[in-house]
Amino acid sequence: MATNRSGAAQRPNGAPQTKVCQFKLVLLGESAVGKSSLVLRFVKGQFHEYQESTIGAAFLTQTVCLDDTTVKFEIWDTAGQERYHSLAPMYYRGAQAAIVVYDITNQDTFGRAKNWVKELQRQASPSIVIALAGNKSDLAAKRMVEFEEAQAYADENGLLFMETSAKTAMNVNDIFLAIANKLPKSEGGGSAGAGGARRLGDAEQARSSSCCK
Amino acid sequence: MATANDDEILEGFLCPICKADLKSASQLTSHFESLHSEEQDVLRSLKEIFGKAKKIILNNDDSDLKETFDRALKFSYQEHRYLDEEQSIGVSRSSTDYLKGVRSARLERYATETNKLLIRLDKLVCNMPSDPNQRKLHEQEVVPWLDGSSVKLCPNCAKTFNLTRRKHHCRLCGSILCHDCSLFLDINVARAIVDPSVAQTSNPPDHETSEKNGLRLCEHCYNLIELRKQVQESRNAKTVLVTAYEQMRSLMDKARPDVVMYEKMCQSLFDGETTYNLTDVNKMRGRIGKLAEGIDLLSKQIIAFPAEPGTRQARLQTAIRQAAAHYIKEDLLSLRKLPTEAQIEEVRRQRYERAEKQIQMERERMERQRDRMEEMAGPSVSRVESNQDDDDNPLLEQMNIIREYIKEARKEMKFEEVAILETNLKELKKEYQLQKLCNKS
Repeated sequence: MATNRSGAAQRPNGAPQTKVCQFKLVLLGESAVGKSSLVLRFVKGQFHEYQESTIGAAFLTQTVCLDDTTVKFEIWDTAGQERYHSLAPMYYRGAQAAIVVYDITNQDTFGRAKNWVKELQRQASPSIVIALAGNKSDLAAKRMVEFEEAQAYADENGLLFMETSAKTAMNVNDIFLAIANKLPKSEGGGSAGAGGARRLGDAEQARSSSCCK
Repeated sequence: MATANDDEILEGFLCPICKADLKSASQLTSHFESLHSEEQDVLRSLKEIFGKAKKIILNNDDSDLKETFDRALKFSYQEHRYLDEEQSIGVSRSSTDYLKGVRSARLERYATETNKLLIRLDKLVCNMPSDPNQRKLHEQEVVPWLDGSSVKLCPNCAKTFNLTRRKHHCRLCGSILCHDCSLFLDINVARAIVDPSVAQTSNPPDHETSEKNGLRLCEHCYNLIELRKQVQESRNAKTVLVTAYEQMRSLMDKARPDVVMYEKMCQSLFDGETTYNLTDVNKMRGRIGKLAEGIDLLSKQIIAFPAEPGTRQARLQTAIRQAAAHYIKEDLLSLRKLPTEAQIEEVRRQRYERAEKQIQMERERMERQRDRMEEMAGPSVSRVESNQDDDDNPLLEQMNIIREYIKEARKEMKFEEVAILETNLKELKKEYQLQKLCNKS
């Protein structure tokens, strides 16, 4: 798994002028907050009013260019439904970045987002970059979660925070770019999250010992 | 010819000695010869002055042209004479010098005029004020505008000026023209012409903005500037050789990651991994082969460009071809040979056996452990076989999703994605196995 990461930057010929970093990014959040819509907007620039709910986890890739590096996102868009919750750890394990999404018109989803953040802080790589996205900002009239409240929570936990709208594309590219900027881009920086020390729960320890790669 | 008296300026055919106005040149000459004959040298100088003036007056552009015609006529006359004579075979005469003579004279005229315009253009463009009134002053300061009070017709189209057809001035020569005859040079284009180091904005300015912000020019000045621009552009334009070389380089850049990927895929096959199959790797090989063909073709084109043998260009072309051939041979065609289907089977079988053995050992150990546990706890532990409905397992569902993704990625030859997805599939399988084990025990 770690073999693919930032492999391009270590090319023997060293021909490409710009570094290429590959990062695994996972989207988490309650169902119907707009995770898939955010990704679809970011990757394909599209928006569907009636986006079908995701089954399992969807996989997409997108490349963004920073000044001197090309960042390739390997995006895992997980399903928000409770029954798929068991899949999430597989995807946030070894991820270098996570976007936790909530719906600004629904207070419950914000609570669920906080739980996701807690879970990430406990189980995921300690160096993971977490961004909090308050989606559906186009529906500000029906707002139930105040911007300041979320901002304060994000500051407290050291998260990137933006209110986004997949519908109007507001802040969508920005949040991905902000993540790309915050990720370490030194040689092998991409794999630091996976290779570096990880806090492991007891259950995980048993799992990782059976891991061959 | 004016002679200064004490306070007023006299004009006319004045005698240089007595300052009497003689009304005409011939009268002045006879007056001078009869009355002031002792001062003959003065007369001579006077004659010289007249002669010079005459020459200056007559030596306008027409005379220049006339001279050219004269020479041309002389030339054609000479040619006729040659034709009249019996011309012996093998005698040839070079007209190059004649051509050069005519051409350089003309070129020089264009060059000096263009240079003059360019200098003015430079002055105009640099520190051009944005305020319209200031700008007008600035423009008039650089190029004095012709006084148009006596001009009744546009010199270009000969239409009368009136309320609707206003007089305008060419910003480079100051001449008068009407709006319909004016052409506009965009200020940014002008800047690029004056200073080629300034990168010109790639999209050509549309007519609207040019007219509002551009420099009004007469056709003559515009054509000269345009010609200059074309020369400048053609000088900066890439030659066919450079284009071919750049194409070749881009193919090489494309090939490089493919080769790395191929090596990775090949190694994976030799290791008995199931991430890629043989057809994948063959497809990749085919793609690299196509790139190699492209590079080969382009480098052959490059060496085929005509060049004098021994010149630097010829040497460069040969060097490019050699480098390309070397690159193809060393990097693209020296790819590792693929294992045969049978070899792969063999490796995979071995690997499978090893894994089987390991699993067997694990299982035995588990059994022993459980036996010991059962011995300690007695036979009261009843195994609960929680037979989960497998069809509904999200893990299995996800595995199917991933398999679909892999199929798609394969089709699009995105092998990096295939690797990511295969890894994930393996993780899922492992997770599923673990789950089953947990349920069993």
